[in-house]
Amino acid sequence: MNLAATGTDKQTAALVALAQRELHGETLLSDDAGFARLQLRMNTPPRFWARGWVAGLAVAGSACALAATLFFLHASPAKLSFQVAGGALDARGHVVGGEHTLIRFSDGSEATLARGAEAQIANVTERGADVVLAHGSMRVHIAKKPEAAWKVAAGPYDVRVTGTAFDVSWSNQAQAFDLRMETGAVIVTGPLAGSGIVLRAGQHLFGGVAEGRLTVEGDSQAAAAPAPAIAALEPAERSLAPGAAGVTPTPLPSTPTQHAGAEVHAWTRQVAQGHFNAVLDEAEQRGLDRTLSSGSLEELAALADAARYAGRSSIAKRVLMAERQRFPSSGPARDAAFFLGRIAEESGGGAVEWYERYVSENPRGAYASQAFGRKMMLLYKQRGAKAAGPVATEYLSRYPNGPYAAAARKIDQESQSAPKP
Amino acid sequence: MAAPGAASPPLNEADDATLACALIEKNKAAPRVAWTRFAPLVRRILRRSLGPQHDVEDIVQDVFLCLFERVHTLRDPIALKAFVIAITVRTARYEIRRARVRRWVGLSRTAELPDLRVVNADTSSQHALIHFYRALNRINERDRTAFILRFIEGMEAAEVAAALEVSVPTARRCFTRAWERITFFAQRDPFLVDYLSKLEVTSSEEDP
Repeated sequence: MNLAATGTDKQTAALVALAQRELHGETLLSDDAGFARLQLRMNTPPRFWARGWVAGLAVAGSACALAATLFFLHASPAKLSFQVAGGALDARGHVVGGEHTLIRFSDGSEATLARGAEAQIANVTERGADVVLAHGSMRVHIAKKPEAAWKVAAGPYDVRVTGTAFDVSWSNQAQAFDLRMETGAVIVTGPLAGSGIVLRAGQHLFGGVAEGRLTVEGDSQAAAAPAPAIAALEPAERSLAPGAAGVTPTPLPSTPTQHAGAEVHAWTRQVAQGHFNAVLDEAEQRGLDRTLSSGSLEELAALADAARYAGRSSIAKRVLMAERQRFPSSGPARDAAFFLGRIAEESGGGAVEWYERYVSENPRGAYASQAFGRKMMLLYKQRGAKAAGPVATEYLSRYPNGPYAAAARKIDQESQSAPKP
Repeated sequence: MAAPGAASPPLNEADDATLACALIEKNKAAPRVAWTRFAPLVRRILRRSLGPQHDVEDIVQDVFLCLFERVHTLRDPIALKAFVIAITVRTARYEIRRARVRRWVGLSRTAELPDLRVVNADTSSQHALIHFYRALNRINERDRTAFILRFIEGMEAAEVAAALEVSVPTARRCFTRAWERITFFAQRDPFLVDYLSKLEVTSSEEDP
């Protein structure tokens, strides 16, 4: 194909070459993972491929299905119901606490309002509801059910709940939050709570924006030390929170560990949801050096993924290096060699060495065929067919139908036909 | 296909015709072999057809689901690869039309998903690629597909015609017209003009 007849044609040809170079058929997903997903879909009803009237029929069918779904959702007997005893709903759907005001849900969960407290029940589903405390105090008991999804909000604070009992209060005037755990565990989010504070039975969290800090009082029942302790949140957590400067740190042995556990899952989940910058922001607020030196393997793996996907190569490189240094025998650390090779390809030299290291550490790893193929292509680009020839031969013997097989055959032929010195 | 009487090779080493027969006969090992053999080809055509900002993994799987469902209609088992390409091209064209409709009705500004595979998304070449595909978005999907298959995939005119299910002269007209229009649009995109002029300077400096 002679594409470059004129100057403008040359430019279009350059764009074509760019697309050829950048858009290829390989993937970071392993071949097995891709096929496993395909198998899952093979067991689900097939997609319509026909067009025209079949598509029209499909639209009509979808509308009927939607109507039926709405009908059944509306009539679903599984959705929770609730009754208010000793009080009444006002015109805005709020419950105002009286002498013995109790909101009782059909799954056995209860909220008891103190006199003068005001709460609202919202988003009732078959698995839970949002109980919003506008002000005052409330005692909450959530029945322990699988997949229960309850949220208790008090002022600007959210309390994520499974099966638990606690007293919570919020004062609009003093901007003060107070939560005293009785059983179970909750995660509190809101001002000064960073990405979440885990509270367990026996612990008491109080404070708020006006006070400038949140304080956790008392050890959880699971903790070894029987004596109660009073502590503010550890510095790292405060550094996550806006407006938290000037708080005297007092270390708390149990809570930070539990908090870190919740954060790990949050990062992995955030990466899975595509919120890469949120993970990066949290890590930077916490302090990147500190995260690299003390973060768990799961945290580092999530952070490395977030950095790679967000195009922050320099951070990705640091995190991957930290993974390899701190957890050298782990799977993610071994995979890190491949990703470091990818980054090195973009940013300069050293990619071939990283791919070699990956293959030597993971001869049957998920990225082994790609590492081999990429190494072969790099050698071909940098040093020609003769240097890449042996790698091409080995690639073909290992992966005769691999994504680089066609290129390997060409390189192999070229290296054999090249004139010998 | 293997000669009659000869010991048949394992399916993963068998030729396309044998694999096609195995797929038609619902051999349990055949889908895996077809996936390993054709997934890179399908993924590459889809990525090149849809552009760098389109996540193609689910669409690759759609192609294979369609292949397994329709392989019994394949008249000549030797043509399995061409059959896979035809399904891929048809699926890509459907996706291009769908993305266009989504842009029209404003479901999303670009109707494109972030590409998780791009590690270094900020490089100028990645941006150039995005602008290049914006130019491609401005031409009709048949011409665009013909352009992709002929110039980026490097297919012969007859192969392009077969994949698009049109005559060879029509295919030729499609990709020639697309080339002219892409050249026209590229000259009017300030980013591409800047990128290409820098590229020319670099390549002229590198020339001995």
